[in-house]
Amino acid sequence: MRFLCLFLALIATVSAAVPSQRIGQPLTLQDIYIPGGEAKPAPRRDREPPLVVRLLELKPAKDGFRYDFEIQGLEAGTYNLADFLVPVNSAEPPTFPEIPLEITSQLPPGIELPKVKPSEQMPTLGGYRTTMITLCCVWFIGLIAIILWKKKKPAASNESEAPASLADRLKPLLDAASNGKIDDAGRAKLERLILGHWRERLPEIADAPTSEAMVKLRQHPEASPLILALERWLHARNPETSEAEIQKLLAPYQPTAAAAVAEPSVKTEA
Amino acid sequence: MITANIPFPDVSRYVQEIRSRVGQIVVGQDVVVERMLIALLTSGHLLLEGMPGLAKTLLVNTLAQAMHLQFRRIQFTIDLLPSDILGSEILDERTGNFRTHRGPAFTNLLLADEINRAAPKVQGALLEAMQERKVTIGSESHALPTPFLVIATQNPIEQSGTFELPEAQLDRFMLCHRLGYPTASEEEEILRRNLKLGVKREGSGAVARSEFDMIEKKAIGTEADLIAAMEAANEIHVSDVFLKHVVDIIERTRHHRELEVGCSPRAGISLLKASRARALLQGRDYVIPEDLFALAEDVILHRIRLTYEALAEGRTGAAVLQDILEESIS
Repeated sequence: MRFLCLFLALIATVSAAVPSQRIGQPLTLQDIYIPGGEAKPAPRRDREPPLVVRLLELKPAKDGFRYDFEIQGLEAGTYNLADFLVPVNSAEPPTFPEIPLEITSQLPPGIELPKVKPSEQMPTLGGYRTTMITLCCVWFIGLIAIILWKKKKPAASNESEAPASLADRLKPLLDAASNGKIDDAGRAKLERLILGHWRERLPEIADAPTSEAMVKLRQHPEASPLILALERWLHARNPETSEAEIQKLLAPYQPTAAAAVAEPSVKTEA
Repeated sequence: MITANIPFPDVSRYVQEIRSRVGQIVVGQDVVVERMLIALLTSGHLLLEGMPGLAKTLLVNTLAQAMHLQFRRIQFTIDLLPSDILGSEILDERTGNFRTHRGPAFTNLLLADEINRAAPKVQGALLEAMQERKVTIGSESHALPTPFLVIATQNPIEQSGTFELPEAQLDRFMLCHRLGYPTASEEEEILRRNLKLGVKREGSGAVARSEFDMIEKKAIGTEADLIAAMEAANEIHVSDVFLKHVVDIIERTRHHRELEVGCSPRAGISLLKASRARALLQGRDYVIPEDLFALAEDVILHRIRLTYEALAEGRTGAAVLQDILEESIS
């Protein structure tokens, strides 16, 4: 027990005496007495030596020299400085006493460590497919809604401005023509309505372009008599169509005014 | 067509002979011939849009020969200069004075081939000459011959390297006709005629005959006949009702929701003039709605511009115009 206590006390003394420094930090050893010939740091020929030794000052002493060294450790561990020294006179064998030192990897005391980030709750993972399907459904429903809305809009406007039937639109014009009070705008409208009526009525002409439809209408056995008579009445320099003939041709489109047609009074303009 | 009482019988005969002469050389382009005659009789200009090889040059050449008109053709290219068309002043080394060299614009029928290939400066020079019927070379103005008709062509495809004519310049063309391919029977007739062309001996050599060699050099009628036809076209009766039809269609183009640019007043004037000439060619002395609807596409389509929304929906000018025409008679 007594030996053990002595041993521990000796270890504690030795370990306390061993100079120590952290990796990379300079360790200065002063007045290191080394008997014998002059010594110098062994030259570094590669990156292998774990210590970088620099001689700061050399002072002569009895049977030897006193040295001031600056040492930087590159790897943690306990080293003997004598292993990193060589005699200046290379002929002499190296007989240096043991000079222990320690390089540690410990952080310096009192250093402020980075703050530890408190752990947070992880966001919900997964469910991407469901989310994407939901978004697609919403997008698709929105698209359908826009399309339906766009389609309904003109229909609604058409309903509000729904044109009257051909008969309704023709009636006032035919009445005006019968009374001889139809003006040029009315005559033009009357002609266009009749052209449109025949175009829609004849299936072989309905789908043709307007320019072709006009040519075909003027050659159609059923439509051409009225259309040619209308042309002569409305456009010819000297209309050859009589008022009675025009009234007779217009009569089928004015069932309610058929009686009134009996006494024609349309004025033709030269 | 009313044939019982043909107005202007001499004019009608003259026009029919010209159409017949052109028909002997060019197969199945009756509508184009009609449009060219309309432009000629009304002092308008014609723009032809069509693929290459549709006998545009042959057509114009035949018409010029038949009517005893001077014909020139200019192939528009990117490096063409205004002076190449209109002419320039040249220093005469013998006298030491400048003399005027008149360009190919000084002719009766000018075929401006692929007009959209030339730079806007050249297009502008020609279109100005078309409008004013005179050109200025140096400091001197020169009147162009009468009649003066420009028939310009442009290819609807191969738009790279071209300068599209802006609306303001397109408006100066009275008519813009889109040439289509001939029908199968017309195509067959073209091939049959081509088989009969044979070979032409020239000196010690020979060369295959082309359709151009078949053009008869003898003109039909005289310049007086042409003037009489122009005067007759100007006498065609236009009723007030017809004017209402024209105004109605022009107004519709200006207020149509799918059109950004509608027709100008010049379009209405062109429609009226062209309808008169068509009535004459059809043997009538008054215009009727058929003339209006037949010419609407050629007069109106190149003068309107669709809105961005209409273009995005894939609408075409022809479809919108067809809608307008249908709306006008419904």
